[in-house]
Amino acid sequence: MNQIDTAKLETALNLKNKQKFARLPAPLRMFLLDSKGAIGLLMLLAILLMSLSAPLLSDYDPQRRAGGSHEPPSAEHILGTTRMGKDVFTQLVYGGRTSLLVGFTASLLSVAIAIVIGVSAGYFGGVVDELLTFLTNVMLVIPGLPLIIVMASFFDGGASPFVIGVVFAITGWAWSARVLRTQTLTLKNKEFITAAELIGERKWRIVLIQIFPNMLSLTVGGFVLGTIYAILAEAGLEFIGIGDPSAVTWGTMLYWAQSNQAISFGAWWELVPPAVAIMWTGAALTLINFSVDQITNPQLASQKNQSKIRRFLKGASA
Amino acid sequence: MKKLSTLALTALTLATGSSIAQDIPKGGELSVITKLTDAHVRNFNPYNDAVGLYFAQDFIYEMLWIPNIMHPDQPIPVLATSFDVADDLKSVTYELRQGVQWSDGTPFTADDVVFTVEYAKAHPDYNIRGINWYNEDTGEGSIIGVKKNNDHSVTIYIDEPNGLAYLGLGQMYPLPKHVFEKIDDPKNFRNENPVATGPFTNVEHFSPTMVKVCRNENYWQGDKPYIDCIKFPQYSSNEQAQAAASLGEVDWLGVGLTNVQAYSRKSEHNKYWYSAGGNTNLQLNTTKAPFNNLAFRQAMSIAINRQDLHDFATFGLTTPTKYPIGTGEFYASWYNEERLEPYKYLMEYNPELAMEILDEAGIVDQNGDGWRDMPNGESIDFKISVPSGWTDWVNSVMQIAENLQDIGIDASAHTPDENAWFEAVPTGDFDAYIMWTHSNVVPWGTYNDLFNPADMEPGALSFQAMHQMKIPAIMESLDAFTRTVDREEQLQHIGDVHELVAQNLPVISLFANPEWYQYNTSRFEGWSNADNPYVRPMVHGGTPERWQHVLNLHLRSDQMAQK
Amino acid sequence: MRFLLTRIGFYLSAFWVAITLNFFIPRWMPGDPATHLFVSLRGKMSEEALAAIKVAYGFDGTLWDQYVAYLGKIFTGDFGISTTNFPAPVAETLFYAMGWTLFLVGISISVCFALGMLMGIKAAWGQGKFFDSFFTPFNVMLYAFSQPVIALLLFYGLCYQLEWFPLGRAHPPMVIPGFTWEFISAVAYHAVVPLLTMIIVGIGSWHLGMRNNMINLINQDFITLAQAKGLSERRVVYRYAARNAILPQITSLAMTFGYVLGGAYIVEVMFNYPGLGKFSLAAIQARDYAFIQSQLLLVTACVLVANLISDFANVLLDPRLRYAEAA
Repeated sequence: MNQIDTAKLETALNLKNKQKFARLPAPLRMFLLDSKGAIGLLMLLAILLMSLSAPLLSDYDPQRRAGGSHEPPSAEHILGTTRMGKDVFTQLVYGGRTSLLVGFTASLLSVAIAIVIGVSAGYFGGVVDELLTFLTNVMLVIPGLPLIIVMASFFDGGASPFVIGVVFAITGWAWSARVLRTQTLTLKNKEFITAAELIGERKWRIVLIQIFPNMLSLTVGGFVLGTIYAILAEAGLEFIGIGDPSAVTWGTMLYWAQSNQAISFGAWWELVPPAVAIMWTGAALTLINFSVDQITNPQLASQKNQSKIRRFLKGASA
Repeated sequence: MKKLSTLALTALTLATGSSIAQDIPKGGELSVITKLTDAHVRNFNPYNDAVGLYFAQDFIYEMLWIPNIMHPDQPIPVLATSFDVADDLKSVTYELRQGVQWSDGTPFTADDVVFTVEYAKAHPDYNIRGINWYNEDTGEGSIIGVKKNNDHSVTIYIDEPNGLAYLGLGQMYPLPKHVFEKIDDPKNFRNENPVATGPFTNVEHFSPTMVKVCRNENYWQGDKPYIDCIKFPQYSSNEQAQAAASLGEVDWLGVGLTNVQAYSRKSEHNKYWYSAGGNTNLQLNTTKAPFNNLAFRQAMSIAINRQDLHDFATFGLTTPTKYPIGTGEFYASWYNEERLEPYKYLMEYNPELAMEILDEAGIVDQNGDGWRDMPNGESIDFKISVPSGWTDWVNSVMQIAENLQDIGIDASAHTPDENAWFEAVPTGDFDAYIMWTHSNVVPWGTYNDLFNPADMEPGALSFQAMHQMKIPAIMESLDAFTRTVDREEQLQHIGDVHELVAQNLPVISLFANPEWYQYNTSRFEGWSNADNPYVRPMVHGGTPERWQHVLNLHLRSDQMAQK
Repeated sequence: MRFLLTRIGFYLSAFWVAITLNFFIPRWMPGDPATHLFVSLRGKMSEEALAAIKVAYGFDGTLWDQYVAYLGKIFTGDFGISTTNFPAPVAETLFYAMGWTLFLVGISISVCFALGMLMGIKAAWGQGKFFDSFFTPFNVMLYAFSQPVIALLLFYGLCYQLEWFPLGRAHPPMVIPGFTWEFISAVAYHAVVPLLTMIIVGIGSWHLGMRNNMINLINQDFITLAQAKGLSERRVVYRYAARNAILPQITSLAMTFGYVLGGAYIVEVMFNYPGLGKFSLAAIQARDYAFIQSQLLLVTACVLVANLISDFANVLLDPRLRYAEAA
């Protein structure tokens, strides 16, 4: 039920708006027409743009002292300074670069691994499936935290944000792989796959051309969720002190606000901006995921469906 | 024989003197945090390094003789009343206190001390503090014998003349012979119900979140302790302990509380006193470039803005170091200002001078990348490492890297996991790192740790000597220091050491760490503080003076009146 | 039957691989327990003492010998000696912490599950109406607001500034555990803010999951049939739609409970709560191998059992999969 049902989407779309973006494929149209997805996308673009243009927005160096200790927000320091005298706004926009980049890369990597393993396991079956499922299950129970410390020790820079991201990718694919495997198993028995097999299509072509596109929306959903998870988990790890405190990310900003006791000084501006940035990004990705969900599963959005429920309710209460 | 112990008499009167005058209120339960832990574990073995240090030492088990580090001329006699160092400096004789009983009523005698010393020989895996037997194979350790003179006198013999040996030996906690002679595997002995001579021996309550140890009914000081019990509530994080201290839930603790303003604002009873502790230095790997270059080391020292380190990185709580000698205010009484004056400029922030020194030494940018290179063209880029969790030091190292970048040196902070850091440093796998120094009664131990060539071998597990610069003249002066008990002679030798350090700069002096100490005056008084600094005030293990401190504490007199 | 046996054999071998990794991963971490003790005492310990401690901790024999001994001990239930609390057995602190984690995480998951179910049903039933269009995204967003942020804000607001709730721990230190009103009320009072943090963050995923399952079901024939039979709305919603929509959620619940023994790192650290997350973080930092591997063993066992259950449940619920598996 997770593959895109274009017919259903079209129905849903027709009810919503017939003309707009008519030339775009149905899933994309659905996404753009959905207010949640559009707002989420705008929110995400805003924060991405802010992070990308960091050097334009601030003349300070995020790593260096720019003023006195805990200066409140002013024209000179839009969001004040930290206890160490660093400019909070500068750290926020530069930190966003790292946090977002780590989130997206970790998620992208993990989805890629999940696709390769999940689809292969599901499609090829037999020994391949046994082995890959075995690997998946082992990965599900491998302890993440010690593993991060072990892996970080192999890198020169310690548990830098990117090391944390790579470890998330390596440890985090197992859930998605399970889902994708199940999905592939369901697809495998569909007529169009059987047909392709009968006409002697090569296996890797079937996987690439027939199976994979049918799981695209599922993968996109997994990617969005994975990004939320990676950003939050990175911030969480840095917050409890596992990360590299000399890196500038939203997580280390929270860590420093906490360990330098910003709140007890009344310096809310050291704590609130990274917290809001994390919340903002989380909210944006959540909204996007809602829309992606509706594309995967058009019933969630369809007006027809709603009216059906309403009718049904009327009938039931009558 | 030289009588060092006459001083002891003054010390004892000082300690008890104040208490005789007025009627001191008795009772009360003192709440302390000696260690942050996730759960208390019942173990009162005084020589268990993981646990014993925190409860058992000083409160339950007592030392022979406590060196008073804050007032070296007023040592604190405990189970010994006096000691003599033999003229040949090869033995120390302790006279033991009479009339002391173990908490089960057995008398404490010379047999217990002799037993403890010999027990250390029989159980080398059991770390009895201060007692290191001479080992023929390794040449380490110093004790070669122990003799009971009578029921209250013991002599301990060492292999070489050493005027400082009494400092270590006196810091043993004698074990009750009648208990420990039955224990074959002392390191695994949990000693759940301790038999000891100390002021608090009766474990009244034990749970993972709270330990309560109450007064020893057989204690040898009649009216002491004034308080009934010590409570050890469990706290696991710095933040939690700070919050509890701010709300007055704990009477005596020593956590890295840096927002003293907020803490003091919460209540007039929230007090702290951060005296200067051991010095913090940058250790440079002098076996390789650029640190093998004296001009470079000098420029580094001058390029560091120590005022900013004090104001920002360490929250204004450290004490800037005055001279480039690896030690600071803690040993201020050993300074020879006249001899050190010419080196003072090395401690003053002057980036222009630093750049001049580098230019003169030919350390300039040769390949046009914006960073200075060695005269032979080798590029300079190094990392200063500090474990990621040590936040004030991470702050410091990040700032030092900035200061160095300002004079064209490509330095950066490196913050590995604590254990990874630990593995790298003693093997010599580092460029530079930030490090504490050890605090002792006399500076000898601090400098011996810093310059003993035996500790410079990679793998020797030393964090003090890993700069690896061998300076034989320093070791000669230190050896001479141990061959005398004369203060003037000792001053001369330490003065030589100071100058040698300043000339060579194997380490770069930064600041003295604060000794963390917070206390609450709402229930108890008698605290050691800046107005009445009678002992080092910290409550954590390794501060034997806390024995004196806890015995001086009592309920507030005005509270008593209200009752 | 053959399918069942292969599955079990399969899980047993996964278990073996996992516990083997649990043994080696802690030991691959840089450092070891004795040197950690040396560092944590900040040099207040001599190098001779350090050597003595290494002997005392008793890492005798090669890594292989230790591994064989470890495998043997798993079956006898001997968890070994903790080095952070040397020489206390690991079981002492492990079971102590396990109790608190089961309490804290167990309640928060149950509350999240129950509230999430109810809100999910309501949202699905009124799809597109105010409750759905406001609370569905809002609850899911709360998840994305992340535990450290919510925990920090609640701690400083409710505990530090307003002083409405205690600053942490599970109960006041002097309250002796037992079936007394004093103890139970203290535990409840101390659990409020940690639970609140976890519930705020945790509710969204259950809400969304249930809502989506419900909406998918509402379209199916048997609901229409139930409607046609003229059953009451309440009966249709709860007896027919919700009852079926809840099945996959229960599978997720089993999986989530599998991870309970991992502890809740952030909340436990923030609120000084004596649970497994806090203890295992400390054990990892102190390189307390025996503790780390014992806790991981528990987590591994639980997760694999939960997996096994959900595998069987899936196969039972979806006959197509059963054929696929058999093929």
